[in-house]
Amino acid sequence: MGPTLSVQIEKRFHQGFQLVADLEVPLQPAGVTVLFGHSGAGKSTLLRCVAGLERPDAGHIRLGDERWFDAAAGVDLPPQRRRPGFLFQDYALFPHLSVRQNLRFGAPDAPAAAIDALLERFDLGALADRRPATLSGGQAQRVGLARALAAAPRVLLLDEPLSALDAPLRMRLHGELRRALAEAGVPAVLVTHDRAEALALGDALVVLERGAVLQQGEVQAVFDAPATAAVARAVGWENVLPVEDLGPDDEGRAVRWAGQRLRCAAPADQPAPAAPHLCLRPEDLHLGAAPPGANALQLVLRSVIREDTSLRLELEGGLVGRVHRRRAAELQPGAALTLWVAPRDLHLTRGGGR
Amino acid sequence: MDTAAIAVSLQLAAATSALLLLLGLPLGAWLAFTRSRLRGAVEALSALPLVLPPTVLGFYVLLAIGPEGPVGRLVAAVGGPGLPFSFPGLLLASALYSLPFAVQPFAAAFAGVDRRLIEAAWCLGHGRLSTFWRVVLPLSWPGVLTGMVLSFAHTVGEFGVVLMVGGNIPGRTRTVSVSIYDSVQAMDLAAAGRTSLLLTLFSFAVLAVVYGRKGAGAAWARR
Repeated sequence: MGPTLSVQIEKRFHQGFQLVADLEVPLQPAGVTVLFGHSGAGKSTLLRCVAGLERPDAGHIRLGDERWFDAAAGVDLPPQRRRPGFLFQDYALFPHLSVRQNLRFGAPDAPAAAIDALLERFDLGALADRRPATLSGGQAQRVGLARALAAAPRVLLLDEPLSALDAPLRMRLHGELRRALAEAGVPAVLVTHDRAEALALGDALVVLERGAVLQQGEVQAVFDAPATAAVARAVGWENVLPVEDLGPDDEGRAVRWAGQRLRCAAPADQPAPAAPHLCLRPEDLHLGAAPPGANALQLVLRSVIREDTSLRLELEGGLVGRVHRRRAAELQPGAALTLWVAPRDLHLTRGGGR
Repeated sequence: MDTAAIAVSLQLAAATSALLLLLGLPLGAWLAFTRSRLRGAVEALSALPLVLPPTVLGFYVLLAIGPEGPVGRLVAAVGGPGLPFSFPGLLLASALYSLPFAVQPFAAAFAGVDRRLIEAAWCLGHGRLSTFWRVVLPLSWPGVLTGMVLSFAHTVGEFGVVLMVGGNIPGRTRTVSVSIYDSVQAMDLAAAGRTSLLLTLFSFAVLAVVYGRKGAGAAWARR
């Protein structure tokens, strides 16, 4: 691995909350590392510690071979010396300065042409002399990012960069922000609790839960193969169920859940995970008779909840399914349903957190 | 009407406001941003003139600037003039007496600046002083203006401290309030009435301007 932003810190708070983080963010190639978790997981605090806005109690923070923080050696560079490109949740644009002056603030010596180029790149040319109060949320977000980049930071820190915007705009900006970050060529650490945002913007993913790093890896890999039940729940697997391991099977492993035998596509040469849990996405549970090779299930339907374009099925044993709403007529609560799930859609993981 | 006294009062008020701007900005900034344990004590000390009788404050100032007092000796050592019953001595006492009227609105305005703007300035490479000049102060000017106007008006209206420290020297230390007191003592109620009316109208006008501006009023009331 090349140069990294290396963070290994501990920070204790009142009320017993503790942040214990250990992660490595590659600096080359410059990608986006997403710190992902529920609110209160410690994501923003971790980001603020990296920026130098909060001081950890122990550990170290290094950018490449530069020491930013080292509790043992008494090193704690102030934010002015770290100069991260920090994008605040509500952008923190200086209200008394124009858009251009905001960009200049961190780059007083930059040639005018460089600022103009940045304004053009973020489509802010026409807004250069406007005050932040007159900008829309999307425009303010672009100014915030352009201002951070104007100061030529070595790392970008983005704290929930889209959460101040309404949902439709947020979805539209995923692509735009992704392109802007790629063009910038600056490694970025992005905090979010939004799965769609993590998938759309991230290259690597760090899952945080109650102040601890649960798993770190490539975004899609972590989403598809969570290492533990807690990670599976955090990245949005709606069914995470304790099961009994029945040993290797020709297609992977067999497990027992609610008295039914299920096969899942786990590597057969590996031992069963401790306290095994079965992960299943509701969309992968199908109505009808099982095709050859699939797992058949017979479960009583408890209730049906209307969602946007689908129906959420709450089944016996706490299993959740999701089907298209046009199938509403077949679904009477109390009836026994015939369902199936393909072994490749069943992911086996170990219980617990880390 | 005692125009010489009016002139002394206006000069004193202007000089006091200017001196308090100089002292109040750093003190207000310290109170707004420090995490020191001394903050409470310093804030209480700076608010003391609000509750102390002016005569008590004047008494201590007089002792301090007298020939045997620490300030008096210091000034004498560097060849300065005697401070008691002089305009500079009066200025010093006035500044102390009006300190909370400047420092409290300053500190409230500084503390009211969005913390994230300050942190954003730090991340963009600006030190504490530069951040104060370029972000905090420009965003707190209504509070700073309020503090200046209040200390100006408060100085024009003071009596006890002036009498204790400044005495009653016409054209030098006799201010409007002392002049009114003299007129009443001399049974010249007409003169006292004219000057009193002028002072009342002036004070009302100043306060109307301060409270008429919404932002500044809110900044002062936040504390």
